[in-house]
Amino acid sequence: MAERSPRGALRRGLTFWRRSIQARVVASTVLLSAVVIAAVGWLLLQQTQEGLLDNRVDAVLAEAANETAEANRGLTRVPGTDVDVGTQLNDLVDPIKLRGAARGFEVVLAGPAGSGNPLSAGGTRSSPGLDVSSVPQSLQERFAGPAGPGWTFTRIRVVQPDGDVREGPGIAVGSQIVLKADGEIYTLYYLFPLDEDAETLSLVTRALLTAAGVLLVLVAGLTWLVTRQVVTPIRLARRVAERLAAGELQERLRVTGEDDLARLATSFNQMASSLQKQIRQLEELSRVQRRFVSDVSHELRTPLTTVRMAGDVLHDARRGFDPATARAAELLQTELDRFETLLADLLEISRFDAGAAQLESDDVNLVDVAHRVVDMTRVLADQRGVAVLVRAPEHGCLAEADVRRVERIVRNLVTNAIDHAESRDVVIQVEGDESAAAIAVRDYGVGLAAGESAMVFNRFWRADPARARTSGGTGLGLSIALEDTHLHGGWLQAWGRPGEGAQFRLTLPRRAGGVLRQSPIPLVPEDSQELV
Amino acid sequence: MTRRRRLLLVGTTVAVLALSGCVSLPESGPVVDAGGDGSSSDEVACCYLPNGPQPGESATDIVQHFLEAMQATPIQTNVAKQFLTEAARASWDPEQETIVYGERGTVRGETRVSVALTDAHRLDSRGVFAGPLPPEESTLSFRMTTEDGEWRIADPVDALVVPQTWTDEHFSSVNVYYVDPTARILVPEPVSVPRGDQFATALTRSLLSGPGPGLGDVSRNFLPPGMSIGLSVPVDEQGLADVALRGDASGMSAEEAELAAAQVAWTLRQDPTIRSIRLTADGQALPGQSSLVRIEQGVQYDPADFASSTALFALRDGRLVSGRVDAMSPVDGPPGQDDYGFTEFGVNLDSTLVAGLTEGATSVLVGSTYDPEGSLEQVLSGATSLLPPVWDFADRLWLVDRTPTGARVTLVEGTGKPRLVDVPGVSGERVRHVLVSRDGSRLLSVVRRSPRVGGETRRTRDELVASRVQYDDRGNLIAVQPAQRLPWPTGERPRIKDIAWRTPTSVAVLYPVRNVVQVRAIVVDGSPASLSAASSTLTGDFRYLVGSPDPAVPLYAASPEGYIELSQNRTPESSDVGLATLTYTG
Repeated sequence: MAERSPRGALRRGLTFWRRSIQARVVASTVLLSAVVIAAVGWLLLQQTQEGLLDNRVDAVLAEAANETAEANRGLTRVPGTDVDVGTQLNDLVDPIKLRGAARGFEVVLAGPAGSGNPLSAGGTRSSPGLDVSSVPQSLQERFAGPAGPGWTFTRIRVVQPDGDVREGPGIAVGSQIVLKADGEIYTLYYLFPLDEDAETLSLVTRALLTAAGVLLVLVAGLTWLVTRQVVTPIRLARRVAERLAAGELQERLRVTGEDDLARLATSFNQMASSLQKQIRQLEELSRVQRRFVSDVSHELRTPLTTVRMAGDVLHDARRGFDPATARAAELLQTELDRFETLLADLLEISRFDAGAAQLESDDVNLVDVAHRVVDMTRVLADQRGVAVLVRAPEHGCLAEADVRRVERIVRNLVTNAIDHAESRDVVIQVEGDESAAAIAVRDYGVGLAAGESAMVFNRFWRADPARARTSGGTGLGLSIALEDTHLHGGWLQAWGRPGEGAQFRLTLPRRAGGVLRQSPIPLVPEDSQELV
Repeated sequence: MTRRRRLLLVGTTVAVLALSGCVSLPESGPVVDAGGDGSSSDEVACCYLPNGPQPGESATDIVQHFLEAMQATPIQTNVAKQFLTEAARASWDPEQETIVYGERGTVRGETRVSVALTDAHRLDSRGVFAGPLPPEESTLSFRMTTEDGEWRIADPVDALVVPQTWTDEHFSSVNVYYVDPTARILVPEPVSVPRGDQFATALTRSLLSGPGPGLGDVSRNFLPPGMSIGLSVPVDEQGLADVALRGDASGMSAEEAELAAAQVAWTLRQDPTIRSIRLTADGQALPGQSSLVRIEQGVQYDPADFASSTALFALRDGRLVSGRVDAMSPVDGPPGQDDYGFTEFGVNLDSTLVAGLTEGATSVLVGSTYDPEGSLEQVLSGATSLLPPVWDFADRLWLVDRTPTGARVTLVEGTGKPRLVDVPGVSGERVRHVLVSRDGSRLLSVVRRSPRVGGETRRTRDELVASRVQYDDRGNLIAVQPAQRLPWPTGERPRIKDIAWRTPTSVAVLYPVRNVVQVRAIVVDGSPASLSAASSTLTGDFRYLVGSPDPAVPLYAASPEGYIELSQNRTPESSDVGLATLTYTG
């Protein structure tokens, strides 16, 4: 349900946006094209508008000048004895009104100049229906006294005979004449509508917008097609790479043509082949090694059993030997124990390598495991003068695991801690919650240098090669512990600092096969200076 | 802000600009200078622009300056108006008439200022000569009041009052053309109108106002009454005069429209700046006419009769001859072949008929000039002493018989019976010469008078009188109006030796001055504008003038010994024809 909500759609859209280069390229191209087209369109329209207006203004001024010249010509011919102002004004403006009606302009005759009356005060003669307020105030002010012809833009309002009101942009031109009858200056205002120009401009605008829309769709389509040509092989390569990563090493890209993409595919295929070859070689080498170790271990068991039996005889009979020989028999017995342990560990490792390790899961209380391991290692601890303490909650910390392997892991960790504790305490902390259980072993010994915490789980690795293996460890204990942990789907991590000791933390999922998200115990111990 | 957001912002801004900034046209903005110099008109700033009233001027100064202000050129009355009171300014109408005076007396008075005008006459609003100002009106009186402490005129006479010298300079004596009652020929009426830019407008206005109430049956106006011309008649640089009449012309027939167009063309062609005319009524061409009227249009209505012959006629050895003055040959008709004993004769306008006086100018024979088989018929006999017969365009023959009781005017129309016509002011008088205009609308006579003052007969003198002739629309004579004396331009009135048409509205008068003779043109309306007309002085015994109203043909003066062409004024040339009988048609 949530996926259908707008929020879900938005999230899907954003995911698509993040994942699709094609979508981003198309969107960017369309956006940039829109900007460019808008700018160019704006420029074109601006130019068209300017051109139209310039032409219109020129024509209008010429026509107005013509009308005024005509009026002046008429006035020049008026007999000087004609003193009827009203009639003369009517005779002057009536033909202009008629011509205006035929040629599509309006006229206002106002005056005399200097009376100070605005046009709205009346006393004007104008084309029928014309609202004299169409003559802008600025133009009226110019002609308050004698002035040369002038023009400006305005809004013309005409009430048509049928009652409709026609309104629109226009040009107002004013020029003055001297009336013969009274010698006063009167002003003729001509109002030319810009309807045709507005129509032309809107036609051009519509055409440009349509063209821009079509162009944008074309650009989007073209970009989609072009990016598809590039993106499709890349997607193909991605899929092949994913399969290679999944182990399908035989996957290859199909190479067509000789272009850059074809060469990329060829190189990719060569890389895949090379990797496949090396991986095969390494696998083979690893298999041979494992087989060798396994074989050697098995082969060593039979003579070891014999040596063991002979050793046991000697050991049992040591009391009858002189002290030196008795000591040798004891040493032999001890080394035989270590040899057997080493051999057992090697075999265990071989089993892991061969993938033959089996898990017998059951609910295990890690608190019990901790106590049992403390009991098991008490002898060794006492020998080293190390006190092993357990900090566990009242409740049990349960995890579904193979108790034998978990005990082995913990024992390995505790033994390792006692080895490096340098007579200081070793603390075992157990914690658990509903999703995971963890056990951490903390020592305050030499600690781990930077980068060593990742290497401690390597086979036969030792921090200081010169240092003796006093506890009789084989050098495989932590490796086996790590394998055991991986078998459980758990984490085994180490933390350490030189001089501050180390902490190893085992985290197991509460349920077998569960996925770990976090550990109940922090990897870095609370008493470390790192947290301070 | 990420790069993408910036891009988005820029894109949006540009888009908004594009949509808002371009699609609409501006509806406001600063006022821009359109160039040109605005209110100036085409008028040339020349001549005379008088000063308005100055503060502190006396009443007499005001009147004097008012009279001077009316002489502004180009003609305008705005300055003159400033001398009037507020109320008078609104009601003053100088368009009513023009008073033209010869000289002005001293301006006298204070609250009532008067000024005496001498030799004053009137022109009515049409520019038609309206006679001399009667003595009782010759003193203009102005009632003066003060306004804002300044003297102003309260009751100006509704006229433009200007001196003769000024009108000589700024007015033109021209004609407006109407049509005779039978609609066959144009009848010119002399008018005096301002020349210059206002010329065409004044002519057209005068034409539109018609021939005047007294001339109803003398001439007709085919421009419908009530028509006006709006502001003026503008003439553009190409000489196209725009006569935009206001009034409905749709009721006119095509023939009427043609005559109206001819009237306009003939009237306006007198303005030398006009090359063609656009004639419209309410924006439409006259019915059946193009709106563009050539100024040559209507030549067939020429008042000097376009069909008339320009040949000269004379008698040689009693036979009728015609041709150029230096090369004359007998006509084909009987009068050219035989001597019928003609003493005087008159040839009709298309030179097909001749009327000859025989038997000591007591009878009249009329016959063909071109038909050798034709015969001569006597149309009148038993007269006392006939003046040379005169024809008009309708082949009406005008005969004046000088009986002991005075002149008797007889009209012979076609083959009809002679009809005695009463011409007040001519009939019963001692008539010396008579002329009839070719359009038949004017009868010009020279009347000799011997006034008696206190039982003593003063020196006889000749008067030039003009009578208007009325016809009905079929050309039948209705009556002749009383003769009007045409004032003689100079003081002493001389004896007139001969008269002859010079133009359709003026006659050349030949008169002796001491030992020489002079020829002067007199306009038939009697206006003193003719003062300015040039006169030429001739030495010799010139007794006769030979002229035609057609200005294109030469005017001759003749003596019994020889003749001269007046415009050339060379030494007289002799001729083998009887120079006393030399005449044009009509």
